[in-house]
Amino acid sequence: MSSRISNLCLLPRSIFGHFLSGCGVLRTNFSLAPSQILLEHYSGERKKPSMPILAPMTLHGSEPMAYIRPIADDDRSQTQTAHRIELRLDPSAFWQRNLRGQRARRELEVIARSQSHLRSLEVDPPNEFSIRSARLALKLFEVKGLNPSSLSISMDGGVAMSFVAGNNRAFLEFCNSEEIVAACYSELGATVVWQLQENQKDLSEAAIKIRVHLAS
Amino acid sequence: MLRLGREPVSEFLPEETLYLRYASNHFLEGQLDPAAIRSQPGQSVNRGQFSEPEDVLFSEFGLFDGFGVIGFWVRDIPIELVKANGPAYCFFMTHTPLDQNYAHSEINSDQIPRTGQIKRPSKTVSLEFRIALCKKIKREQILIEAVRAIGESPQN
Repeated sequence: MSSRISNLCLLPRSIFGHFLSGCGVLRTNFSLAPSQILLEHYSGERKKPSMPILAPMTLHGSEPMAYIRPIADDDRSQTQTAHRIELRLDPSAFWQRNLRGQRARRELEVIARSQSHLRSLEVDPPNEFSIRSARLALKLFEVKGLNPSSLSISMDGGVAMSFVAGNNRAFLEFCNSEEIVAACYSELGATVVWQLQENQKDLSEAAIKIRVHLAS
Repeated sequence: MLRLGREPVSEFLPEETLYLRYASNHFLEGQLDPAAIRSQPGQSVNRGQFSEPEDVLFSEFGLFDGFGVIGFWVRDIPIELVKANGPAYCFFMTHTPLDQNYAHSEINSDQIPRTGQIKRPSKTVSLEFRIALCKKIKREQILIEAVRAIGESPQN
């Protein structure tokens, strides 16, 4: 196996895309199809050897990393711990988005715990409604590839999510008053504000509106 | 900073500075986040005419330690917001001195035509107001940098 791996050639970067850019050069046997080398996330017993080459997801807030599964002499995929790749150095947009989502989920769970000290600041701590609806939104947004740049306690009472892409911004507030308001705005353009309900349809539509606005 | 029996001064000049307290996680990519501002009525600021930026952080018990201060002008406050469906609102400053803080003021709102009272706008109108104000508040206007997030207790 080692001889086959050491018989090196440069793997086309277009195949693995950006994920390998922070890894130096990955070399393998020229005769092997690139699809025979799999990058997969390290998930212990939940490994899926047939998983296609995609950005490895981070688990439980751990460092993003990948394991390369080189090809053994019998042409069968073989797990090897030889290569741990630090992908955090130059993460892709996809990865950054996932990390943002992970941070937001962690932040929401911190917020959901006792925030009694907020009362001394004359801020209403987020209540059950605002936490629950923010959780639902994060879950739906992740499916749609939308993760907030920031999640915080709103001074107005509730949970706030903010999205920034260049000059375009969006804001979503889950109020303790059981209202949800959203806005898309930019430095010079008009501000669009709307109210939504705590349901999958409204939140999904909001996600689409926000994505379109951020990409515009 | 103490009131010492002084009467409120109702006139606010457009170029008067107002000081607003903010948390580190309420400043995002060079601009204040709408989460940092409350709906009307209830957003407190200190008048620059009667106080210094650090006065906004004063608390006998250190409640506001680690927060920052932003300065903006009275003219940055949107004068009115007109919506297609629903009443139009105007926004104005009210000097509401406290015994311990003479400079204390509030951003308030009323319907158009004016009723002479403080009228709370809808959440959507209020959010539009907050965003309009946030667009005016940039990093250069930070007078004291915040090092504490809103969710952190002072001892952190």
